[in-house]
This record gives sequence, structure tokens and C-alpha cells, in this order.
Amino acid sequence: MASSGAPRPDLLPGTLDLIVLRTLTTMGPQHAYGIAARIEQVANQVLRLNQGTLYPALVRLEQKGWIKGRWQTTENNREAKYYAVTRSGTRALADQAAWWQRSADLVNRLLTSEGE
Amino acid sequence: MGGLRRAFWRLINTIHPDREEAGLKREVASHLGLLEDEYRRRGLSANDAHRSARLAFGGVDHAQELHRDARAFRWVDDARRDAAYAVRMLRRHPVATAAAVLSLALGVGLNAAVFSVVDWVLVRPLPYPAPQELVRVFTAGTVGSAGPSALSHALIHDEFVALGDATAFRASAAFTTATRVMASSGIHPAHVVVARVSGDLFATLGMNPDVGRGFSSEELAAGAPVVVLAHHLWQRAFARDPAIVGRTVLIDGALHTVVGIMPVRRGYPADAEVWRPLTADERADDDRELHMVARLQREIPVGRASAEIATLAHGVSDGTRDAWVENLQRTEVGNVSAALTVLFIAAMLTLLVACVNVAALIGTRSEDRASEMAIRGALGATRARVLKQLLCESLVLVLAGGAFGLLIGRWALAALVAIAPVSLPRLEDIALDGRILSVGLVTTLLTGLAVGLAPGLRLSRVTETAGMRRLGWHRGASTSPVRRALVLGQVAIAVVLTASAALLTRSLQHLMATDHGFAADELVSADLYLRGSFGGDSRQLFSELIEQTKTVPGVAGVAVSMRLPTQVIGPRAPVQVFGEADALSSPATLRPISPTYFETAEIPVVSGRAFTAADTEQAPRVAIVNTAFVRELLGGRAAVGLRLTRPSIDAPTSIVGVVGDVTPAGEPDRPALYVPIDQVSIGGGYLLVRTDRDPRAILSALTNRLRTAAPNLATDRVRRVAETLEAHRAVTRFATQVTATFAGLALLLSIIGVYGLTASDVVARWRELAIRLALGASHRHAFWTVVRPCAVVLVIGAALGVLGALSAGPALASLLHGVGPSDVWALGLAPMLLGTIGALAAVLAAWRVLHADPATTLRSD
Repeated sequence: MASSGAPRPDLLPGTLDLIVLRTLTTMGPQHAYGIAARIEQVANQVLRLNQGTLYPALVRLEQKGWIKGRWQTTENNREAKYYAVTRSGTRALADQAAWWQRSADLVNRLLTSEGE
Repeated sequence: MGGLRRAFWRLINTIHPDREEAGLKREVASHLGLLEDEYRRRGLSANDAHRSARLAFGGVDHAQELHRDARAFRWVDDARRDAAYAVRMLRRHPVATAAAVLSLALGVGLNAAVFSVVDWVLVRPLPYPAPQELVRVFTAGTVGSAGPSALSHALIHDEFVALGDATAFRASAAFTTATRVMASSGIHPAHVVVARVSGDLFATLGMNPDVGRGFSSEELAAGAPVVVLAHHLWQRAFARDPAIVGRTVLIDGALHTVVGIMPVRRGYPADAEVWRPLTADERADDDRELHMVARLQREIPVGRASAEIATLAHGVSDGTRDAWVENLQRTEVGNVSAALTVLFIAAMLTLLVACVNVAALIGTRSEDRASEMAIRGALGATRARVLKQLLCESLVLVLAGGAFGLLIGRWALAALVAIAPVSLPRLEDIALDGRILSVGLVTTLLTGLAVGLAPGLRLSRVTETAGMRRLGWHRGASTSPVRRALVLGQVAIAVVLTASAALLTRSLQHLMATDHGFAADELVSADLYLRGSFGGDSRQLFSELIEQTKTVPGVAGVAVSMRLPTQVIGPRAPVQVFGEADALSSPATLRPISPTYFETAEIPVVSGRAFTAADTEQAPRVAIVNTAFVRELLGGRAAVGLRLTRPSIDAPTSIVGVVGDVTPAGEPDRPALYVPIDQVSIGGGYLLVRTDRDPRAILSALTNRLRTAAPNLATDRVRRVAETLEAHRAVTRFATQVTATFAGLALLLSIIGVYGLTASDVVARWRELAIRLALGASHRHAFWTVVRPCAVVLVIGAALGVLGALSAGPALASLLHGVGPSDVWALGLAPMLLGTIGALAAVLAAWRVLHADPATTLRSD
């Protein structure tokens, strides 16, 4: 893979699931488009997301039993599948977030201590 | 937990790949709708909103693919699809596919069968604890020592006692086997093989009777009348009644107490049915007939044990005898080992030949599909993906072959065991089991990789390079050199196998043509063992039995003799010509017979007369000698009329006739003195019956008649005399039959290879040939263009094969009788045969060239 110039901010493998879970926790039940819009908004254009790429993350989370999808009608009278975080999903988010924090801290420490 | 749950759903979705497809479609549609709503809200036209929504979403197909990957086990699905595709492709060429599957099935199946036999006989350790510690002990006269026992590898009891002291041995025992008659209340008297043992045989083997017990040291020391029974005898004679332990049986008319039963198929020697301690009398008997087994101390190598017992043997024999040990399993296997090694190699070579054909098939078809692969490559299939698909095809092919091979292996093994020589150890154990199946599976998969990977790699490279250029263009000028080399190898292997089979067949012919000196194939014998079971007048019994037997349909002659004509060795006696000072140079073998013996066995009377009914106990003593006696002991002088004296007989014996030698299986006869059974007394012998039909046909009638005539006699051993002679050549016969099968198969497979090579050469050069023909080349010339390369392959392959057969000769040498390993006839036949049939196949494959109309060909392209 070519890596010339400034690397495009990309999602680390596995982080998309975490982000989706977190988004659903803060926003409450939401459909895929809602999740994508929210992530783009938070990422503030830094992260360009093909919205289709959310689907593998959603199926992974649903198969693990961390989120649950239900067909509902939007305010514009369109049908959409709304995903809600389950109880085991809430627990998993805490675990995953803590794990992510630790990993990120470690990488940060290693990166910064290198320069001294 | 989440991981497990997810794996479950992925599995469900793998089994039902379309289960979530509809839901996903609906969700994507709704997603796109929401996006369009949003874009329209921002003021875009309907068209623009539609386009922008798709842009923001990314590729719909791509997202669906990702979703499929995430929700199911994709590789399973891929593999299934590849397999289904492979099956479709293979079914499109049914003949070639069937040929390849059959080739493989035969190769794999025969391999599995031969491997089972080799595994059970040569590889698997004996079924005793720490079997590597078990050894046989041999002794022999040292170089230069003479005497009749110099060649014997057996021991006398004193030697056994001396060698048993070796520090290298943890335990040791000696035994000698003999056939005796066992009787008991409720069972008919029957012959059993009795092993008389000295030393603790069961402790040496590390295997005790599982019902009852072994022998106590007191019983062993005293030679007590106690017996341990083999499991199969227990089953046969006592219906596995455990209450037999503690009861008594009659052996040779003496009471013996049963103390134990050995486990199924355990006990040494393997043919023993009864074990009992060696008695004091038997110990004193210094005939060299004891066989010694020992268990080595842990970590003592065979070499060191041999060195120690050699010293001990020298010590007790004043340096005239030597001793050594050999691994027990190795000595059991004996000459079968060479035969099995040959068969194993033959089986592997045949599988190789089969693989070449399958590789050729896959190779040709992948050539045919070069354009398809090029397109796939251009459309973005990775090299790995293409390779995987090609491998999948060869695996499907090979697994089908393997599955059929297993079926073939099962009956091939049954056939192998059925024709195997009885001397093959553990014959009754041999069966296909998990171990052999897994070896078969690994062989099959390796075969699949081998035949699929090579063409696969070559072809997948096509997709990487500018394979597209080949699209719609003609394929290369001729078949690949690799394929030529493979077919060449096939031809060479087929020649090696055919030559080996021819050698073995010649050897078997030689064995079968052996003149035994008597009518071996028409004779049936019944063991008449009288000791202990018969108290009356044996002469009367014999004449009664002869009279009774004569009336059995199919009987052409009956006699009684102490030994069978297949047994040239026997008790010997020193003889002296009456009136001469010295005894003859060596003792003569004594052969008591009834008057009709020579006539029954069809041993020719060379001069003088045979015995008659007049040669009774009261008549003057008479004897008949064989030509070996005349030649070796009388120096060729006229024998009839001479009178002989023997120390045990006061009256001189007149020689009344000379008969021909018996040479069973080519063994030279010894100087022998035939005497009438009416003038000596024998404790048993054989009823010898000549038949006028297949001896097998009268076996049961004869057995029944004998049972009625002498109900107290053990008459269970009625068999063809030729059986022992056939046992002698059984190993060679076995090796010949199996090698010939492999050779035939290899021949067929390599002919298919040659045909395929020429045929694909014709296809590959079709257009070129058509142009040449159009430009005026003769059909004959075109024909030769495609046949010539095949002829070269045949000639070189055959030459290499002859070289290979020559170098394989020494491995075969131990199986060959009366024919050298470099026999011109055999080595010449194989390449001729293969060359002729191979050339025919090539000509047949090139046939259409002769009838081609170039114009049609060129127009069709």
C-alpha cells in the first residue's frame, strides 16, 4: 500500500464497532443513516465514511447480542431499522472503552517517550 | 459470550446464506431513501439527490459483500461454490473424469491394502509390553566346526541354561513344539501343537494367561503335567468354558491339569495351542530342537547382548559354538519382509503412475481454460483465488478417487489376505483401521496437492501476465516438456514393474515345474498319531484303515508310512554291508512303509521289486534303498542282492529293490532305507491316499470314513500333501500375483498416458498441421510429426525402465528361484510389450491426422 504524503485519518480495525456502540448509547435507538450522520458530524469532516461500510459493524454487533434492530417508521413516514443497545451491549461498551483507553494510553506513552 | 453467540449466527447464515439478504436489501433501500430525503431537503433536484445519496453510501454491491463476509463464514461458502463449480466442470468431461477417478481409486486403494499388510506385519510392534526388548537367541557351530548340528540354529538344554545366565537378559525361556493328540471327556481326540517350555515363557513375554495362571517355578522345575491353553483352542474345543481351568485333559494318554488360558491371539510361538513345562526326560534329550527367547534388560542394545552370550556360548562349548540374539519381530517376519518391501514399492510406483494421468488431465483442462482464467484475472480475481479454485477442482477429483479407493482398498485387502502365504505373521490381525485410513487420506490429499498445484501455479501465472493476449489465439506449438517427462517416467515405471513381474513369474514357473520325485498333486495324507490313544495292534489297525479307505470313492491307492514323501529327513540308523569290516560312511534315513507305498506315491522302482504282502514279520528281513543310497553309500555298485546289518537288528536285511529319490520342492534326497512296517514297529505315521480326482474333493469323505473306522483315533488332520510344498512357494506366488496386478495396472495407466500425450499433441498442433497439409505436406509426414515425439518418449522411457529393473534386481533376488535378476527374457519382454502397445496407442491417437481435411479445419477456426 502506498503511504506517501500525510496519511488519511482512518479507522483502526475494530474501532468502528466501538464507535457505533458508543453513538447508539449517547443518541438512543437510531437507524444506520442516523448513526452515519452523527459519526460524520462528530468527526467533523476529518473522517470520510462510506456509509455502506457501517453494515458489517451493525451485523457483527447484532450477532453478538450487543444491539438489537427493530423496524419502525421515521418522522418523515419512511420505514427504517432502528438499533438499540441491549443490556449486555452496555456492559460490553464499558469493557471495550476501558480496553481502548488503556491501549491508546499505552501507544501514546510509547510514542511520546520515544522523542525524549 | 458475545463471540460464541456471533459464531452461532454466522454458522446459521453459512448454512442459509440468503437468510438475511432480503432484510439487508430493505435496510439499504431505506438508508438510500433517508439520504435522498436529506439531500432534497438541502435543495438538490430529485436526480442529483439520487446520485449524491448513492455517492455518500458508497458501492451498494460492495456493502452487501462486506455484510455477507461479516454475517457468515465466507470461506465455507466460497469452498462450496468452488466445489460445485468443480463438479460441474468435471461432469462436462465424463470419460476423462471417470478415467482419472478410476486411476486414482485403484492407486489409492491398492496402496491402502498393501500398506495395511506392511504396517501390521513389519511396522506395528508385537502385542507384548516393551516388545523392543524381546529377542530370539540363536546358536551355531563356529567356523570350522563340523558335525550334523553345526548348521542348526536351535539349542540343547544345557546351552539354554548357560545362556539364560546372561546379565543382559531380564528373563528367558526355551521351547520346542510338536504335534500331539489331546483328548478329554466330551471332545473328540484331536491333534494340537504343544509347546514344551523351560524357563518362564510368560514372564519373558510379559503376558500371563487372563483366565487362571501361568506355570509356577516348582511346576517348571519338576516338569509337572500342567497346561496352559491358547485362546482359540479354548474356544474351539471347550466353547470358552472358564470351568475348564482346574480340570484335566489327556495329552498322549497322560493326564494334564489345565491351569490357564492365554488372551486372544497371544502367546509364543504363534502356532502353539498348548503350553506345558518341559519334562526332565525331554531336557536330557540332546536333539537340537530348543528355541530360545529372552527379554533384554532395559536400555541394553542387541549388539551388547549378542557379545555377552557369544562369550557364554564359547565358554560352555570349548569355543565350538557361537550365539547371538536378534529382535523377535524381525525373526518372525523372515523372508516375508523382502516380499512385502517389493510389494510396497510396487504399490507406490503404481500410485505415481496413476497420479501422472490425473495431473495430465487437470493440466490439459487447465490449458483449455487459459482464456477463462485470463478473463477472471482481468476481472480482478486474485492469483490466490484462481489457484484456490483450481486446487479445489483437483481436490474434488482426488477425494472422489480416494473414496472409491477406500472401497477398492477393502476388497483388495481381503483379496491380499486371502492369497497371502500362511507364513505371514499376524495374518488374522490385519484389517483396515483408523491408522490406515488416515494414511490413505493424507496420501490422497498430498496427491491432490501434487496434481493440482503444478498446473494451477502455471495457469494462475497466466492470469498475472498478459494472459489476455492469448484470448482467441492458438495455443502453443506442442505439449509441455514437463508432461513429456511425466509420461516418460510413467513408461519407465511400467517397464520396471512389468520386468519385475515377469521375473517373478519365471521364478514361480520354475518352482511349479519342480519334479518332486512323487505324485505330490494327487496325494492326501491323514495323520495317524497312535501314542497314548491306541492300545491295540497297530499293524492290524493299519491294514483295517487301508481296507476301509480303499472303498472311498475317488481313492486310487492307499498306503501307510511313518513319514510323508515330503519329509526327506527322519530318524537315521548306521548300516553296514554284511561281511564288510566298516559301517557305511554315514547313517541312512529309515523309512518304514506299507507294501503299496511306492505304487501309491508313484515313486518309480528302478530295479528289483517293491514290497509285497508276503514280506511279513515272519518272512526274511527285506529293505529297499533309494538311488541316493546307491550313489552316496554304495559308490554306485549293484544294490539288489546285497545284505545289510543294523546294530538294532540281529538278522541281516536283504536289499530287494532300488527306487527313485524324492525331491520335494527340489530338496535333494538323502540316502534312505525303506523297510516294511510289518517288520518294524512304528508308533504312528500317515495314511497316504492317492486320488483319481482333485484331492480336495475327497477330504471330507475320507475324514468321515476314518472317524467311523477308528472312533478313538484323532483323525482331524486330513490334508493334501501338496499343501506343504505350496507353502514353500507361497511367498513367491504371493509376490508374483500382487506384482503382476500392479504391473498390469501400471501398464494400462501408462498406455492411457501415452495415448493422452499424443492426442493432446494432435489437438495442440491441429492448426499448424492443417496449414502444412494445405501447403502440400503428405498425410504421412504430418502423422509422423505427431507420433515421433511419442516414440522418443517410449524408447527413452523403456530404456530407463530396463536400467531401473536392472538396479532393482538385487532387491528381488531373495524371491527368485532358478532365474537371475537380470534374466534377458524378462528384461526384454517388458520394454517390447510396452513399446508395442504404447506405439499402437500413439498411432490410434494420431489416426485422425491421416483423415483430416485441412480446408475444413482452417475454415472452422
